[in-house]
Amino acid sequence: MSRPALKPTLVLFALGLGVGAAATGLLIRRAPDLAPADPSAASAPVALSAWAWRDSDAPPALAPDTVGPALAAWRGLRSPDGSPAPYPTRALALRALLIRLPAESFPRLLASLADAAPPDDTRLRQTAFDRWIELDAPAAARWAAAGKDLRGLARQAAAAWAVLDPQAAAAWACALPEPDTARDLAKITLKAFAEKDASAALALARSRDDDFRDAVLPSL
Amino acid sequence: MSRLPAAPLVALAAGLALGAGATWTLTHRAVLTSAPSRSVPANVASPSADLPATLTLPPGLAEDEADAALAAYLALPALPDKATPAEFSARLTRLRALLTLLPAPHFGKLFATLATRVGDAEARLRRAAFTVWTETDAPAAARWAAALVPGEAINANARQRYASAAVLAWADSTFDDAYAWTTGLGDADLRRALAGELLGKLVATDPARALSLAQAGGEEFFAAARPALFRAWAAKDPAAAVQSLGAALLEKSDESWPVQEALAKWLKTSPRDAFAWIIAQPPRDASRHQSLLSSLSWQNARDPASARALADLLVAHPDIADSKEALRQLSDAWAGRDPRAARAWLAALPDAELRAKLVTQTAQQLKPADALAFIELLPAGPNRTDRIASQLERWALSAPDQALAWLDAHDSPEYAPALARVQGALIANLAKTDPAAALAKWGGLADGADKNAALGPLALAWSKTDPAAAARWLAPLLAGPEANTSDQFNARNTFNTVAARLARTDPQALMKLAAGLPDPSVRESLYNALTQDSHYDQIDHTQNYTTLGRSERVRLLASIPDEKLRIPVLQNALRDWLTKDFETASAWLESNDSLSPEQAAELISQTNPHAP
Repeated sequence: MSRPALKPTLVLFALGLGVGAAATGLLIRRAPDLAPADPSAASAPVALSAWAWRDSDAPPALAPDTVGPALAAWRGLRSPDGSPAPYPTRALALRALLIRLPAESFPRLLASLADAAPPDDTRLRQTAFDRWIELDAPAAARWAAAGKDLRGLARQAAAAWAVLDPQAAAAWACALPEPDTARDLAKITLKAFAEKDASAALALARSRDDDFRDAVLPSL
Repeated sequence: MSRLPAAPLVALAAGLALGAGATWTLTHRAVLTSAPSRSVPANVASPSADLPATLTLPPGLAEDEADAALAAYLALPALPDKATPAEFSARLTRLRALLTLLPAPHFGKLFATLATRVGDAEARLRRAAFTVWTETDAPAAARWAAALVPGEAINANARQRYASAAVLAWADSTFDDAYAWTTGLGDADLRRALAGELLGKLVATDPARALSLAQAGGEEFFAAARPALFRAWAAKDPAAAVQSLGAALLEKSDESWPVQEALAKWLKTSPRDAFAWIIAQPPRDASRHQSLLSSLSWQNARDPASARALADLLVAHPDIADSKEALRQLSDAWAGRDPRAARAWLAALPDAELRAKLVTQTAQQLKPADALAFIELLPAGPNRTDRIASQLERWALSAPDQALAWLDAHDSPEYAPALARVQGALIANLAKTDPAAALAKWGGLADGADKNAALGPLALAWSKTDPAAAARWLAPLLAGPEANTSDQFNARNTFNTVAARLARTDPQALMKLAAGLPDPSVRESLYNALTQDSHYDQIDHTQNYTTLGRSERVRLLASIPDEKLRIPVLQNALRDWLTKDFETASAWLESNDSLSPEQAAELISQTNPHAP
């Protein structure tokens, strides 16, 4: 092969190398923007922040644009035969996700588990909810109190909130619009509040109708 | 057409491909740098070749890195119980982050240290880590827990909880392995407890096999495992659980509650079958059916449909011992939760006698408006009228507007007595705080039965704060041409109660008031109030003792100016005193000339305990 024939070939090869690299890089950078609004449909590449245990105690929180794909990836875990991944795998993956999931993204995760009938999903929902309570008990309590058939979770979150800020938790519970929920959660939070300020707790117990007062006073 | 040279095109294509491939690889290596040593488990496929296997299932650390990461965590001082929530949360997050990278074999090393740490904060961290271990390698976690020697950090109960969590997680994947390992445990207590829990898990999905395994363990084991088996089974199929294991559990009172709960659920879905099972149980003692049916009555009152079904069944089986008591409890509980539905059922009950009994008993448990609605189911007559009046009278004291509004809405001659009692109650209530206003209201009533009926409550309420004024007001109303009517009889009784209150609180005022009254019989009533040591207050239902001593009271009575009254009143007082304390009373009589010597001698002879 003569030198004059080799030179254009090398130039074209270098050009292809450059264009290919640039185009691929551009596509990868644009990938998060291409993630569909519906996280369940997300499958495009996402640039994740790397974490090494020597660098920090825990991984950094997910960036907002990676939350959707991350949730979709977790929900999409499959065994090789296409069936849903077994519970231990899903649980381990969920725990890895939870330590990176920002508090404000928990409703999105829980919404996909809230109506789930399988017992495994109920356990996973509990795992996720436990973590949310650690991060933001008031938000968790509000979410559960507004949900359907989530009274147990609401009680758990209200109790955790009452440990941190009994006055705010009790005031919130006593002002809930649905009487049955208000009574239930007020019993928990007022008890904690009464240990700090009995007279203010009594005033809150009397802030609604007689039925409410009669129901919550014994807890004080 | 000229042909393009092949070599440059191949070079261009190769460059494009190589550039794209290299860029993709380099980009994704950045993601993988945190944990290069463990791949995604082989049995799990990531949903996308690109994403986030590293996120959803982070690769584990290599051996030496895992040791280093573990050592770094364990080098942290144990978290004290006084740690703030923020400190605890930070430590927990760090532990959880470590656990996402830690290979399964390293959990044993982690727990070798965690198991020695005391305190509640460390226990909570340990439990959080153990849960992850059970998901990562449940058999290893179970073996670790079973091998634990209970100590200061982890006592025997905590050890059993760890073992239980692990073995149940193990059974999720391979029940047979977990059960075989459990039944081979040397520790008999732990073996029984864990096997019971495993069978409880199995019974929900395969009851026949669970029962077979339990029975294979021998009678003692089966008996010990029965409660756990029942609870788990009943949560899924209460009817089957009750029919299979319920009778044996009911034999022991401390294990009967879960059976009752299961029966309550069964009653909701198939009331006839559940009821038939209950009454088919051999009544070993008289309380068997009663306690069972009573408990079910309370539980099923929460659900209107099953409350109605149970009520119908109880009515249809009057032969069952205590079915009426169960029915009463059901009626009470049902009416408390859904008074309208319970009332509708009672209204349709064909047995009038049973209906009246249930209505009367249940109304006592209800709020006034509901109680009145129930009482209206009674047959018309004096009994119903009186019950309505009593209910309204009580209601008027706590919520007068509501009681009067009810009366307004029920305009019927039958309720006229009730109106009088309500008015009396309201005036009496007012008299406690504002006697003048109460008197004005009473005075404003039209003369007649209503006004007379209100007199007593007013005077009694007033006498609680000012008995002298109440007695002074009441005394002139006792005399008159209608002295023998029932109204006057009631007024006299009221006056006696007021007089007793005055005698107890202010005897001097009583004497002064009596001296000024024109009617001798009314005066005598007042004086007689001082002759007794104590009075039973018919209104307050209390026995009240006079504070003034006997000698002082007798001295006061001896000063009554009117001899015709003084002698009989004094004789009454002294006779009572002599009966209670002969020596002191006779000494007083001998030293006093209030009675003639003959009158004194007669009294002493009548009361002398030493007389033959």
